Order: sequence, then structure tokens, then C-alpha cells
Amino acid sequence: MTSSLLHPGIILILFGLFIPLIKNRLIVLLFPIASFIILFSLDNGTVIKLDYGNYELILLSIDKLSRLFSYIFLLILFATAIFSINQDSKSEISSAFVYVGSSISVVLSGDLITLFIFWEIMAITSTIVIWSGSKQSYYPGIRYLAVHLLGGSILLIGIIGYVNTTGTLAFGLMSPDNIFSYFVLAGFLINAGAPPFSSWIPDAYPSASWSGTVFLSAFTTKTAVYVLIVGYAGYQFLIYVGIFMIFYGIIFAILENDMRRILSYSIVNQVGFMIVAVGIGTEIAINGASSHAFTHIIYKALLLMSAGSVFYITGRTKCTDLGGLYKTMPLTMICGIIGALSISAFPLTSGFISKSLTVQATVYEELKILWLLLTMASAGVFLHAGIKFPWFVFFQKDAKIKAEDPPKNMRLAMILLSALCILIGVFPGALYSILPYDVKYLPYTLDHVSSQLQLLMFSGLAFFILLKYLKRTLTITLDFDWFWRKFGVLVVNLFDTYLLKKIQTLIQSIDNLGTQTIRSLHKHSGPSGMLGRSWSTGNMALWTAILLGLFLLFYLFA
Amino acid sequence: MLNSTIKKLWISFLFILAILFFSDLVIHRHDYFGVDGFFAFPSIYGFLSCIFLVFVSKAIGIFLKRPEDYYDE
Repeated sequence: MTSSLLHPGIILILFGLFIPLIKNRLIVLLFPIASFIILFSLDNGTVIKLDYGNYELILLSIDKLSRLFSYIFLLILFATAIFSINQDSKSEISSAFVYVGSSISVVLSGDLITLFIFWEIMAITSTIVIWSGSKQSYYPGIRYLAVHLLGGSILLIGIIGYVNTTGTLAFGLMSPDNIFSYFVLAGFLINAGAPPFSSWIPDAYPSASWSGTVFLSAFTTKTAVYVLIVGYAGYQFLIYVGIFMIFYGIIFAILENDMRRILSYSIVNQVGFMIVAVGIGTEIAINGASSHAFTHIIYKALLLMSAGSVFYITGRTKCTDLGGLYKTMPLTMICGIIGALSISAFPLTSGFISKSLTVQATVYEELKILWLLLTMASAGVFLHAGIKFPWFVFFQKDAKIKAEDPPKNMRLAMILLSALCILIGVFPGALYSILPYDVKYLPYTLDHVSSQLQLLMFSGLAFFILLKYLKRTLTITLDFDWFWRKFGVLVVNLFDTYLLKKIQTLIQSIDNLGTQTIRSLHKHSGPSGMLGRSWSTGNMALWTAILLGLFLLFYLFA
Repeated sequence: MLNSTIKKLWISFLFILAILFFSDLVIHRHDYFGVDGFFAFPSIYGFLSCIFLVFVSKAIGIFLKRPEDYYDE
């Protein structure tokens, strides 16, 4: 076990705080590189410890899994930093760096207290990223923060209880017999976008700026996937949570009109796949969850960059207002399609070699129903993200929008990520070699490729046959957040106008009763009352003497 | 896009679909659960899954869809 003085996450946080002072935005690109060099130089097993009172905090503890997640976080930070060079909002870039630095610190943390501290910094800084978007970001940001502070409180209850009952601070596989494990689990799941709180993703992310959404897409949910892998691998309950998220994401994305909201629902869907894999919990499933997180971060950022470019150039985000951009934004279209093919797991893209591991895990465990559900969902992913996004934005009708491809830095970031999607898909060995367990699985068999192509192409056929049923409308879809956005408001209003008055009269009558009681007490026991007034010392002495005399007589004759 | 281009795209798309559908005659697909050994199973299952998912979302949409300004702040 070696020790280190430099922490890749905390350094990034410090860098992030200095960003508002930096004039040349190219310098910002050096920060993720610096953090990468530090991380790269540290061997697995390196730790940084800190004595805090009676506790020994483990600020950093590197293994294969935490290294994998830190690498992908840094990679996507670097790409998004290029993409956002022309983003004028310094608060967004600065808070995004602190946000990513704390995500990496969560992933590298070795104990529950360190984890919690950085978990909360993530919640606050990501809210600032959302608020940096526009005036309309204010309320979604408040709702986002409320959900995450609730999640954080539940997590804190869990951690305090867990540490007190087990006496251990270390973060590893959580004991299923300890009730507080489930509080911690609930806290983690809220950040993963699990029901009933999934709506914070499509509510908050699309209200950030064109670059802010890209920053947000990668870290909170994937940090949650990481902590679930470490703490809850093999918890079968997670399979059901994941399946719910998968189909929720597909169905709500089909009904959605805003392209960035479509892609946000699709995050819930993809994280659902990872959570199913965590629930299965075998070595190949954990490899599936972690490689899927890795590739998903890349292609989802790419898709959101493509959508972000369209938003940046045209100022529009609704499918009903878009269409026909293939002529004016060809590069954005091609990069968007590469992202769309990757998320759909087309052969030769990164999605194919990562999601297959999870599907294969169900085969090894002989989980037939789960396999059928995941295969259906794979078809559904192509339907809701793979074709729907490019079709409605770049083809469909000609919306006659004046447009052009975005500035050079944005194009460069998209090309970089597109290249990665294909390279990882063509050469899976590189990614497989950094997964937590050895991979003995070959994705490219004739059998597997032909099955996947059949599945996807016939899903495509279904899309075009059903096109008239998929036509977008100017609507939103209600979610669980209705309970606090509408029902909660109704309850408060009802309380305000009706109940409050009732309660006021009730309080008034209690008040009156109280006043009367006190008045009568005052009359009898007050300074001049019969029972309360003070007596002179002589009287007191006399009465005491009489009482003692009576007592003496009583004692003598009894 | 020109109608003739669209027509050509459709023809090539259908051609690819046909090749994939009948590829099961040549490629031996490994079946794990029995049902997936059925001829052209991925084609049929993928197609039906999508139809199913679209109609389920349509049905859910009837109850949950609202105008955009529903939550106006």
C-alpha cells in the first residue's frame, strides 16, 4: 500500500474555483489533463488518509473500478470543456469543474463520511450549473436541489445509523441485515434517477444551457451507478428497479416533444440497464454495468452535444419546430447519428460491445424473462433514441430554418467523441482490459451480429410504419412530480384559504380559554389573591408555632 | 428530398430487411432459451416489441398527456 499527497479530484475542485480568474479558456483544458496525469501515476492500492477526531478518513483509495470511472469522468470533462470554450457563463464552467472534481472524489473515497461530503458538494455545484442556463432555469433548479437534498438527508441518516450500529466507516459491500443499509441505498437510488423521483432528470437537465446539459448528463447518475456496484452488487431488488426505469424511459421518451428531454428520459432508460446488471451482480454483469456506464457517458454526451449544437444555432428544442437540418448542419447530423447508433448498440459501435455483456449475464444465469425484457428494451432504445432523435431533428419535414454547423471547437468535441464511439466498438479489447474483472466474452460472433442487426432493423421498420402514431404534439407528460408540483400546491392553497381560517378561529378560542384561566388564577393566586399574597413574618411564625403545638398534642395523646 | 430518392431508400431498406430475415437459413443462431431458436426470432420479436411499446405509450398518453403550459410558473 503506497501513499500519495496529490488527490486527482480535490485538485480539480481547486482548479475549478480559480476558473473565474482565467481569461484564456484554452488553459482550462489543461486541468483535466493535469488531474489525469496524477491519477495515471498512482498505482492501484494507493491511499490518502486523514485523521479526523476518532475517525480515520480515507480520502482516496484506488482500485480498478474507481480508476475506470475516474478516467471516463476526466475524458468527458475534457471533451465538454472543448465543446464549451465559447460558453460565456463563467459560473457554469467553474461550478462544472468543481462538480466533476467532487464526482471523482466520491468515486475515489474509501469511507462513508468522505463520500457523503463530496456527494453534497456535487448536489450544490450541479444546481449552479443548471441555474447558469437562463431565467427559466430557476424553478427546475430549485426542484432539482430539493430532490437531491432530500436524497442527501436520507443518505446521512443511513450513514450515521450504519456507522453507529456496525462500528465501521469503510465503504464496501453493505450488510443486507442492517436496516440502515436500505437508507443508504435509497439515497443512492434517488441520484440514479430511480422511481418515484426519476422526473428530476428530464425536468432539470434540459433547462440548463446548451453546454450545461452535456456537463450534467455524465456525473450524478453514473456516480450513483458506481456506489451501487460497490455497495449493493447482487441485491435482486435492484433488477426490478432497473426494469421499471428502462421501460419508463422508453415510454416517456416516445411521448416527449423536446429533443433534450427525449435524451434525458433516455438517460433513465440507460441507467436502468446498469442497475439491472448491478442487481444480477455476477462478474460479467458487473463488467456489463461498468463498461456500459463508460460507453454511455461518451455517446450520451455526444448526442447532447449534437442536440446542444442545434439549440445553440437555431434556438429551438422542440421536434415540432425542427426538421430538415441535414442540409444545413451535416456534421452535427453525422455525429448525432453516430451517437444514436451507439446508444442503440449497433455492431461496430461502443454500445454493442458494452450492453451485450449485461444481456449475456442473463443468459449465464438462465433468467429467461429478464432476457426477453432486455431484448425488447434494446429494440425500444432504437425506437425512442436511435431513430426518433435524428429523424425529427434532422429529417422529417423541412422546417426552413436558417442554420449552419456550430463553431470549430464544438465540431471538434463532437468529432472526438464520435471517433471514440467507433474505436471502442471496433477494438473492444482496450476497454475490456480496464474492466474490474477478466473478460472472456467475444462480442463479434456471426450469430450475435446477425441477431442484433435483425432486432434493430426490424425496429426501424416498425418506426416508419408507425410514424403517424409517433407524430409529436405540443404536450408534456405527467409524472410523479405532479404530486409536489400540482397536488402539493393545491393542498397548500386549500390550507391557505380554508383550513387556515378554521385553525385561526380554533387558536383564538384556545387563546380566550387560556386568558380566562390565567385571569382566574391571577385573582386567587396573584400578588393580591387569597392564596398568593405574601404574609408578614410574624404571622408566619405564629401559624408555624400553632401547627407545631397541634402536632405535639397529637403526638402525646395518640 | 425527392420522391424518387425516398423510393430508392425504401427499396434498399426492404432489401436489407429481407437479407437479414432470411439470414437465419445460413447462419446458425445459438438458442439459449428455446423460444429464441424460432426462425428469424430477433426480426419478429423486435418488430412486435416496438409496436407493443408504441401502443402502450399511446395508451398511457391518453391519461397523462397535458398541454405544455400545464405547470406554468
